[in-house]
Amino acid sequence: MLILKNITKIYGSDIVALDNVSFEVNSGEFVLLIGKSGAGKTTLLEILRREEEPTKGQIYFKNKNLLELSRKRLGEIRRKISAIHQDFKLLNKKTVFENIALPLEILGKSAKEIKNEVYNIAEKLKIKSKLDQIAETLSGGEKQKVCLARCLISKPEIILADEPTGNLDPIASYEFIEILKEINKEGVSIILATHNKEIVESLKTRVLTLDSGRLIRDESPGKFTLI
Amino acid sequence: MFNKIKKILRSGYNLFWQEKVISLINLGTTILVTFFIWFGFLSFYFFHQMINYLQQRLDFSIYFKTNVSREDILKIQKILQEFPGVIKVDFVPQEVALKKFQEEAKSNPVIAKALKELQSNPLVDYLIIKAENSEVYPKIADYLEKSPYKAYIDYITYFENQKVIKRIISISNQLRLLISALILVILVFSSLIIFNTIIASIYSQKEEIEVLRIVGAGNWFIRGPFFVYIFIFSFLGYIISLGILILFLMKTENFWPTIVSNFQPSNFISENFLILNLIAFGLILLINFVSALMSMEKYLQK
Repeated sequence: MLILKNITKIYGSDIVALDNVSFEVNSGEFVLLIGKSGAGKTTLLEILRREEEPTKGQIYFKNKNLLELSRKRLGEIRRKISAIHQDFKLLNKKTVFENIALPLEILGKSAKEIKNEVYNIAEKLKIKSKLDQIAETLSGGEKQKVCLARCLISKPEIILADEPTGNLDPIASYEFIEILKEINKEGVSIILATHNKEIVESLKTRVLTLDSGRLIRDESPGKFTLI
Repeated sequence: MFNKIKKILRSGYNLFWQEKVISLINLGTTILVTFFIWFGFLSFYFFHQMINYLQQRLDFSIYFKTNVSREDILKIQKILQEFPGVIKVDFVPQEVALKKFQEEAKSNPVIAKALKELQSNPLVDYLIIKAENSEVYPKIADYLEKSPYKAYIDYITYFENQKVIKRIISISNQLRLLISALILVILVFSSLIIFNTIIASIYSQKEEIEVLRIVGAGNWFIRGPFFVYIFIFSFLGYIISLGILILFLMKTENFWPTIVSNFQPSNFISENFLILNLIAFGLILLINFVSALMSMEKYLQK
């Protein structure tokens, strides 16, 4: 479903953030992206949503070359390839309801449709009681759930999660990963960037290892590829 | 589509109330800039009226020798009436000239007595010329100087006023240049003030813009609320400053003609109300929108 070919990103004239990274992600797959700080995880995820442009390489999403899409169509892609960030990226002065509803408002849905869909998602993620609360008053775990709800409401095919548990306590982290597993079971592909060893060990799924911008390992349970 | 427009309008309106301090600063800036623009308009009108006033005060008369016949004078009057830039040419016969002089001298008993003692009319026939502007007078004087009618003419007041006329022409040209420069400076200054306050407004919303980009909003969905917001404070600021200006001009209505008799700003505004407001409000919106577009661009790149 998602194919990356020789993605290279060079900042300035000589800072290589990504060096010829190539891999594929199939539909419904759960992929972990690991590496030290500065290994290029965030840059790679940003390139996948064209928040950054690669210096070289190709990205195909469902056989469409993402890098050839006009900027006008980026919105559509960003709803299909949704993102979760470590620092949540919520509208802190707005309510939980308003935050979750944002992608639907962009699509121009009616107030009734928005209300129904927001209530359904909130119920699923057990944050229905928080809908009228202002986002900045929530705990880290709750904020990350709101962020996830905002992703799910636009029915994404891939979720890119960049250190989503970085600001969460161990219990909230565990709970959040469990939710991601549930969502993955429903068919949504997930690429989770993390340097949390416990998550890597507990998930037993495919792991891509980045080191200084290079993809050095691609391991799946029972399968190991040294690149 | 309708829901999107509704959302954009609502977000713009909410932005105005949500960022009260910044809205107040933007409102204040718009009021200030509106005053600047109107100051430019009124300065232009003031100098225009002053030049007109001075030109009206100019005396361009042609006095004829006593032996010149009325037919010849009327012929010259006809020729001058068709001269480019001439508004009217009045013929004043010597009897009328004397009568006028007697009327004017009524308050001066010495002159009045001297006039009564006169046996004959010492005054001559003459023509008074009014032109569109002072630049026409030297041309008429030049024409007459080279024409066969030169022999009929006793003297022309233009030559007495020549220096004043030339000075007025030079001053009016310089003033036109000065006003144009002044308006340009006002516009540049206003644009800089607005640009900086808009940058501050957009900077305060950069996180919201980032979030909108993350969830897949298009550029116009992000720009839209800012334009609605800009329209709200521009319109409010403009109405407030226009109200203050009109009130001020109404209260000082009697003062302005004491500077230059034909200078009445309220008349100028009421006669050109639509066009002046269209230009002033259009300028404010244009500067605001362009500033917003420019300062937003870097946040929309990602």
